[in-house]
Amino acid sequence: MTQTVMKIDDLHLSFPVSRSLLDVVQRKPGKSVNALNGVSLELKQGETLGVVGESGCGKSTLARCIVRLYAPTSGQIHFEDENIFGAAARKDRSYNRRVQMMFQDPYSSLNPRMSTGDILAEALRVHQMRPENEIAGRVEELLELVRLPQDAAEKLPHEFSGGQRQRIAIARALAVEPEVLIADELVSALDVSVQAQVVNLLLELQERLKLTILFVAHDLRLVRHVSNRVAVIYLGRIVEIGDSETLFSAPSHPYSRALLSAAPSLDPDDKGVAIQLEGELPSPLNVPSGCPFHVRCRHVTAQCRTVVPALRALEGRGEVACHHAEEINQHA
Amino acid sequence: MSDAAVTSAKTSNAPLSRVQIALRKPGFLIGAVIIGCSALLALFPGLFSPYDPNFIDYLAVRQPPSWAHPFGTDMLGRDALSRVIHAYTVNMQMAILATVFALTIGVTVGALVGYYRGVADMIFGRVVDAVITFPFLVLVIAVVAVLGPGLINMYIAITLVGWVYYARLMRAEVIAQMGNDYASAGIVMGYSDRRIIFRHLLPNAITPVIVYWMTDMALAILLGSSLGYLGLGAQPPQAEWGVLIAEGRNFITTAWWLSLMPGIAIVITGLGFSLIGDGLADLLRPRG
Amino acid sequence: MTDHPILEVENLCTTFSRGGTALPAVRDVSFALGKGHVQGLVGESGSGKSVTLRSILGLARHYGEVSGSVRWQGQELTSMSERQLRKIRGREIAMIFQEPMTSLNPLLTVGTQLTETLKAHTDLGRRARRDRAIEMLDHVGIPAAASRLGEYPHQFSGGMRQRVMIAIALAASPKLLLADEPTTALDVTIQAQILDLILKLADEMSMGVVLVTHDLGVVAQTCDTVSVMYAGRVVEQGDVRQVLQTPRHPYTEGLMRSVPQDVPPRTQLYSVPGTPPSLFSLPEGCAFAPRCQSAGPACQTARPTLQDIASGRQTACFNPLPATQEDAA
Ligand SMILES: Nc1ncnc2c1ncn2[C@@H]1O[C@H](COP(=O)(O)OP(=O)(O)OP(=O)(O)O)[C@@H](O)[C@H]1O
Ligand SMILES: Nc1ncnc2c1ncn2[C@@H]1O[C@H](COP(=O)(O)OP(=O)(O)OP(=O)(O)O)[C@@H](O)[C@H]1O
Ligand code: SF4
Ligand code: SF4
Ligand SMILES: [Mg+2]
Ligand SMILES: [Mg+2]
Repeated sequence: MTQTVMKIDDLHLSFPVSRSLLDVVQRKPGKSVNALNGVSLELKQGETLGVVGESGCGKSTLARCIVRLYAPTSGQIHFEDENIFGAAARKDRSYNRRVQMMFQDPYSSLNPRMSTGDILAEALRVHQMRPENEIAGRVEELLELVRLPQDAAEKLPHEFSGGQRQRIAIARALAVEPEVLIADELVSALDVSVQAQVVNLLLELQERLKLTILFVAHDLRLVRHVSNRVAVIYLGRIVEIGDSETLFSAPSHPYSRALLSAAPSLDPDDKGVAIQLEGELPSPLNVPSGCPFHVRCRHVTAQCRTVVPALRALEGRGEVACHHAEEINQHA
Repeated sequence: MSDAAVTSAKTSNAPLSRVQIALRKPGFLIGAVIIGCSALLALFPGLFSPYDPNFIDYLAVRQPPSWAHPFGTDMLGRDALSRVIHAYTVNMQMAILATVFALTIGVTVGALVGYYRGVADMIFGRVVDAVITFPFLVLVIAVVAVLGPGLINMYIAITLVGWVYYARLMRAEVIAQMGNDYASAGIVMGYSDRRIIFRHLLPNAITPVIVYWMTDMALAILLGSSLGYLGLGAQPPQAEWGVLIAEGRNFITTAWWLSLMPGIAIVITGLGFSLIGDGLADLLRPRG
Repeated sequence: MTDHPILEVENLCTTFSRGGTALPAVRDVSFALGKGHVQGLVGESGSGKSVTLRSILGLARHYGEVSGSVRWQGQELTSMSERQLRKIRGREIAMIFQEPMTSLNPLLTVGTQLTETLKAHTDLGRRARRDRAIEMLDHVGIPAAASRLGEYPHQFSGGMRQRVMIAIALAASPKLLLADEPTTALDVTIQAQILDLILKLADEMSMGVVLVTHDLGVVAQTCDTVSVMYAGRVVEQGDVRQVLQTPRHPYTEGLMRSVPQDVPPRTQLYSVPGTPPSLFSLPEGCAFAPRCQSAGPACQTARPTLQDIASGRQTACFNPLPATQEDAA
């Protein structure tokens, strides 16, 4: 039985929307973007959990909560049984060392005025990973680990390509010997021919260093490839979570089905039938009552409009948040 | 084939270095020459001025420009050229002393409120609103009026008002930089706030402030000489461009050169700083 | 298939100059497009896809050096005056830009922007323009179109704004649509809708389409033919089935193989070693040579040109990969 390293409980987060002067004058109530609406999940030791969902569904927000860049409105995250938003944990910088995040934009995630060597050395020094006289050696090791040439240490970020910068970001995260890596769209900004290089590196390092990874991406094929388990998020809620192969080959939630069917196949003869969704993407400013998906769902019933479906285990599948998952799967 | 070898970024055919690019712009080059010369004059006025600026010669009062006195002489027979040259010391000093404290305070305050936001930022916003509703000069004169005239008080007055402009610029720039993931990465890495602000954000945010600083030095000279002219800054017999213009004011029809020459010195020095400011923007921008 | 091509691009070259150095953004791009035909343009970021589209429409010549020939229904566009071009742009040839969020005027209502296009390019009356605008919004799947004409762009979601852009582009029933990554900013579920719409219009209105994308899945699902670009040049082009299923150029093959499909999960993926070259320092021979596993001595010194290797199928490579499956077509 693999151990749970991180437990996320009923996480909610809403961003207040700044009101225009007109709204204030008209006494309109302040609105808020409900980015997370009760996310619960567990990260297990050594696994890769993929997170997919439409743009704006709250994937990055979830990732940023985990590394404490955002504080949730309610809900809790426990790392090895300690509440990471508790007062004691907040003071303790070791959480920031043990859980690392890598960002999407390879062009903005490195300080443009620091050389690669300085970037890595800084991480080592701040967390006192090595005595001062071993730092240079460790920087070399790290560069080798992510397969960057040794002369990379003196260079500034602008002298590298996007793929190389992502490797520097990976090296920086690994410098502090973390246990959990949060990868938010790590390879999305990279060209197809370079993406595979970075993904290979990540898989290899995970194996070697026994890392636990949360892999956020919108490329479904890539998520399927790297993940052990996958969570599908819709409007700030997990609507389905389960074993990656099971979920991708037989999605159970109507939204997961639509999402997976819409991904264009590489085979020109496999025209597939994208499940057409009706209606507009609802906005997180105004999350529908009941099942958040009900305005676009073909299987909607009266119950769906009022009762929020809870995540529940489904025979032979993962966990699904849909009132009618059984019937829908039978007919499929 | 190891892919590390192949991916090693090619920087051959490297475009020109930044200094070269900046110097290619004639504006920056001219600015640099002007300010370089001004600095020399300010540091070693004795080397360049033909006479003692305070040597009084009642036999040669208000003489028009000649070979012996290229800028003429003033109402006490002092050599106008020597007085303009000696004024470089105090006027260049103004450019620096009237701005560095405002710069330091403004950059620090701006970086802090931009990083922490919250209540401090709201209070800062009110201060900014209050300060910028009045014209700069009016506020400075008001402060000098309270403190009393004189150079030192003038520096204090300009600093008291001027830091707000730096802080406002710095705050906006820090907030913009916070949007970059390297700032988030610093937070996630568990770096201290001080490290993130001063080591990461500040070097990236300061460029527009430095550029503004150059223009501000030009403005400081203008402001300082205006106050000198009004009798609120440097006091006679101190050779200072504003004071010199004021002295020549009464003879503007008969000895126009007395006011014109220091005026030209102000314009040229101010122009020098502005030209440098433009060029610096290119010089300081990070590559990428 | 391309008996009467409406668009013929021949040896299109576009050069920018940056910091005194020439930047060869597009080199010798040639292709022909028939009515109702969808041509894909794929390649990595910076390979010259957008510049190719902009050069076709005569936009790139304002800030770069364009040579070669672009014939639109027999007329040469490259030598045409701005005034003549203006009559063709928007009316006969429409373009959807890569950055949709910035291409709508935030100060004008969506309805105004749509009807203005119609006013400029058709001779419909005021009423008819309004009806047509509603019809177009309907077409691109914006519900309750009539009531949304009076709204401003910021009241629309990103995906809806993109659809408005498409509606504007298609309003004057163009004969050619140049679409630069029209769905990259959209979610897959919306992307599927938009691509369906473009295909439907290509079919119903015999509109030719040049579709730029970097998503090979999108190419497979929408295009009839495809050109693969690398460092400003077309390295392979032909029927989409043939190019994707039996790539002959090593770069195309590398692209196809690095997509995680039909590989056991969590195993190493195939990857093209190295990174794309900078246009400032292109290798002397084949631009792909430093990353190519089939490279021979000739590749280091000479530049391969596009050669016919089968009917309607071209590749620029000295050692093309063998046609493993029969090119039966
Ligand atoms: N700092 C913020 N302030 C206000 N709203 C925010 C902020 N960050 C995110 N949001 C909003 O929260 C919602 C979820 O955003 P999030 O970035 O988590 O989406 P995502 O799933 O990562 O999308 P994408 O795939 O586009 O990256 C969006 O509606 C977004 O506009
Ligand atoms: N206006 C311009 N001035 C100078 N160079 C330009 C200009 N527009 C594009 N380029 C350069 O031309 C090359 C090709 O750019 P292009 O925009 O066509 O790439 P692309 O294939 O569309 O890439 P992407 O997938 O990122 O959109 C790039 O190196 C780019 O920097
Ligand atoms: S709960 Fe109802 S509306 Fe929601 S996905 Fe299931 S069937 Fe559809
Ligand atoms: S020409 Fe040579 S280097 Fe270029 S793709 Fe073909 S085999 Fe490779
Ligand atoms: Mg995101
Ligand atoms: Mg482009």
